[in-house]
Amino acid sequence: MSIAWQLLRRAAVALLLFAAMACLTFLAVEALPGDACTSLLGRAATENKLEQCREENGLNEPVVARMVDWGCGAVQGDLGYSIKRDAPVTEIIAPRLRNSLVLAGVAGLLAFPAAVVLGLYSAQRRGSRRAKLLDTASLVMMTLPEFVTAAVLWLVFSIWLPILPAVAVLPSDATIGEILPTIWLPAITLAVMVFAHVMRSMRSSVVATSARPFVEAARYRGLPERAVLLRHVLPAALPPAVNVMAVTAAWLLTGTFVVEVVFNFPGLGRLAVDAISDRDTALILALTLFGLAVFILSSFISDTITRLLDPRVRAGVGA
Amino acid sequence: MTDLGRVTGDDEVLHTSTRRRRHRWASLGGAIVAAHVVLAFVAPYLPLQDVSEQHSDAVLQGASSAHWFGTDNLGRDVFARTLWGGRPSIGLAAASVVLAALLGFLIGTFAAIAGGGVDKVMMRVNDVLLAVPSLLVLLLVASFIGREPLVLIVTLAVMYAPPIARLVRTASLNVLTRDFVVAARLRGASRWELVVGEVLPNIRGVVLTEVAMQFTWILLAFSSLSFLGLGASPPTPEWGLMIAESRTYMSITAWPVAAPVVMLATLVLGVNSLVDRNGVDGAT
Amino acid sequence: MDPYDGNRFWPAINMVFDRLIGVDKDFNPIPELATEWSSNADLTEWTLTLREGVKFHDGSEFDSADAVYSIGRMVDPEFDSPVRAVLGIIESAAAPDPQTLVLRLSAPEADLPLLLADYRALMTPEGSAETVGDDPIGTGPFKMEKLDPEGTSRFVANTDYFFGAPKLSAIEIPAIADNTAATQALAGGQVDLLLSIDAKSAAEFSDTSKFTVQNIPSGDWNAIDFRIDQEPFDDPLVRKALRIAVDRQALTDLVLGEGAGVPTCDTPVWSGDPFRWDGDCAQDIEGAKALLKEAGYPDGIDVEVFTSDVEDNMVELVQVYQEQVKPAGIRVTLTMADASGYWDDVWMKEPAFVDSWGQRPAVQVLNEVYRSTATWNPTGQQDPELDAMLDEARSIADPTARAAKYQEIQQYLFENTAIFVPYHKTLVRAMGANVKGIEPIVIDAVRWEKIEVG
Repeated sequence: MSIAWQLLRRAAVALLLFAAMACLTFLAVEALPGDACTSLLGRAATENKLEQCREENGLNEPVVARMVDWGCGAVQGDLGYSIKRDAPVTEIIAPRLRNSLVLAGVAGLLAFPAAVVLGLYSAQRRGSRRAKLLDTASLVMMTLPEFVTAAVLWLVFSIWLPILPAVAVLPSDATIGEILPTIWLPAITLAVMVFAHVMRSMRSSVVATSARPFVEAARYRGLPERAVLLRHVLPAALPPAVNVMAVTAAWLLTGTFVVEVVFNFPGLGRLAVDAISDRDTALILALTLFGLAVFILSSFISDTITRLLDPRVRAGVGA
Repeated sequence: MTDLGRVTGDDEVLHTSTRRRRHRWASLGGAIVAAHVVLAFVAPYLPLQDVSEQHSDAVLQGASSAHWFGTDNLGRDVFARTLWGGRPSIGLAAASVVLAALLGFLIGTFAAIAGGGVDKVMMRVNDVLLAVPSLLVLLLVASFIGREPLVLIVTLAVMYAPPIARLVRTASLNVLTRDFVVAARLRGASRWELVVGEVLPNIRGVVLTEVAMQFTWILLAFSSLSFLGLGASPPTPEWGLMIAESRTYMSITAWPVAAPVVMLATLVLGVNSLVDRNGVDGAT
Repeated sequence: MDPYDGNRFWPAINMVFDRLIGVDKDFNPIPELATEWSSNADLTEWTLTLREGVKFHDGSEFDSADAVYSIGRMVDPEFDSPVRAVLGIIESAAAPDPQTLVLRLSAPEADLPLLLADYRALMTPEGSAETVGDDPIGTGPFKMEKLDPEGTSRFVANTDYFFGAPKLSAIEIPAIADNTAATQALAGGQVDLLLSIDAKSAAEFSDTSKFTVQNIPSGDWNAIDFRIDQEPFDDPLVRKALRIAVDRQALTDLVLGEGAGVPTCDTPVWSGDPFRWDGDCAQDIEGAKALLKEAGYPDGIDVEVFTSDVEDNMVELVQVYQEQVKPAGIRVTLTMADASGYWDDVWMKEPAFVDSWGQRPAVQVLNEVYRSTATWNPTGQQDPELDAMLDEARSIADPTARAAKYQEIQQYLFENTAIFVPYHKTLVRAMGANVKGIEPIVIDAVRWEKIEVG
């Protein structure tokens, strides 16, 4: 089986999986108590008004009909209409998706290169005082909840030495130039977490690889350590780390609720929290599916990269 | 963070935990965890101030001899609340992780023994569940269905079972292909005899390590939920909730935030050092 | 931006639109779009003279036809605006000439000018029902440039404003849902003004060279409501016990912060209102116990109170209440309900729940919350005697006699009501020291055109 064929097959499976999940999610969101109209009318809800609102927005149609409708729309890029926010879902999500991408990008840029390099370093120098310090530090970084990291960064950089803005006071459609100055605290908070996860996986992967016979063999052949590291250890050690990076990248896009709320960042995470508290079902549905899609896509990509990086696969041995 | 921990948990644990050595890191971690657990049990019997008593003349005060860790925004004793604050989270996380482990173990061994198509389908479903962002689901469930402990425990267990199931399956497959198990199978041992007699004892260590890690992620997930206002109910003293309630006043007094933060962090770090295979490797 | 819609964007409607009648800082009616008003002898017909030469943002003239149209929408039963609860008493509006508006009422109302000063009773152009939401055209000091309730909305000066051109060229309103984030934004100079902050965090802004903090006594109140149609709250003795077991001063200080509220004896009428009744309602644990015993609960009583973090102070109120009534044998369980469903599923439905109201003049709040027929009568109290007293009060032309009647009503409430009102809030407004021109008065009365940022 060629790699291309394999990829195609896996892509098809992923797509099917996503479609099935989409249906399930739609039904699950439907099953939640309350609907867009009760949420819109709030304190002013009367039977009469509810009925009128449901009629106007087609909520009286049967569930299956609405699901098919929604699905057909979604395929054409129409994710439905938020009654609460009186705007198409795609229009609401688009600028925030961009902001979340920028935030994830900055956090990723801060975290990934450093994590790979320091992971390699700490594996090579394991036992040294610096490596131990790095290990302990990364353990702490990994286990502190974001709201704690955020609080500490806040105290230090916004209150004691006021050099970074405490929160983002920005519309969702601000230009990237306007967003960047306020992005640092949330980005660092995320980067801390991501760095720790990736560094630790990189480190354990390098440790495991270094003990493999082919690396030992390379050493015995008298290759310089640096060459062993770059030519033998790194290629074999990267795939597991890439896996973790893909998952982290997905998380950076879909799991940043707390950070965005704390820093008032106009991204998808805050939108999701707002949508849940407003019971904006159309938005909840779209955001949940987005989260699923990102995770499925990220595992697909990491799978592909792993296969491409894996020397055995490259050599055509098959996996 | 919590999702991240849930999903990035790798199979590394398989190779290393079996040759884990006792080490001062681990014993320190063990001591911290033990202290936390003991504290959670005995807090009600300690001569502490009433966790709910309010002092209208002492709101948001710093540390003093009357209130060692100061008071919160309703004039309650932060020291007492901090010592009590682990009880709901530790209890809830422990219950969830036990349920998750049970689920994960059943699913994992079943898939491993069944093999073939059943295995494939089960693991697919498992992976899909793993892809669902857990905090989002928790928020949805807590917001729409309710925040009763039972609801949260079941949700957390379902969200955190998949990584355990995946690990159990891999570990079980490893065990099932070993000679003594193959021999047992040839002797005609039934599947469940195999699981109970051969697989379980051999994967216990690995699974326990994973379960301990998942415990910390559940703990953090619940704290995040409380922080977002959908976890523990006031006036319960709970770390995440305490942090959420007091963070507005952080620049007036840091105690009500700092104390629960330190407790939460030491517990999570303790569990991590207790089971952390990397720290162990790194030092040898 | 539709001011009559329940989902109005409240921070800005008073920048874009004007009322017929405003209020000064002592809550006396003052001219806004109307310059003079008077009523007939039996208080059922009011005639208003409208200001001349006022132009909407699109250049068209404001006249009585617009006023008739606006009032028509406010009281339209089909549209059912929340303002209808205030002005529903208006039966018809007529415009004999462009500068005159005649309002006919279904019952006498001496305080109609105050009702017309409701912050939502704003004037919109004739025929604007369909467009006002997205493209609001008002007469106010600022014109909407961009509306983004979850991002930053922007309003630019209306240089032709009839009270004079605004001193600011534009006002931006960023949405910051998280309270902590909002205070941080002010502390870091990212915003200039916070309309209301948590009094307990006011210490953060105590540096007067950098910040100005204003304490504004207001008529905003919280309450714990007990459904009168459910046991055990159907018993007036139980209701009274639940209310007198509280140390209101201590509760106010704990919930709102020291000096951040004015205790009240279950009257929704606030201390700045001329019709306010100041009773004595000191904590009476023994009295409460005795009442409970008399009502058949010698061993105390269990009460489950629903609350939610849908608005500030609502959760703290129950926590403090719970502690304070403990000695009287009242065992309170606090149940957190979800913020999103609170007003639909909990409020007015559960047996006991926390309530929150904005400032309203005596006549309005008593009729809107306590009258048997009110849409938002949260406890379900049906009391013909109270209704009769309310009818009588609003038909008294003499202010002193009217005040006496309203005070009598409040005293009556203290004996009977199922709404526990512990305090009125003192709003704490914080701004950068460079912000000038904001009087320390409630937001309805702030003249936006006078604000400067130095």
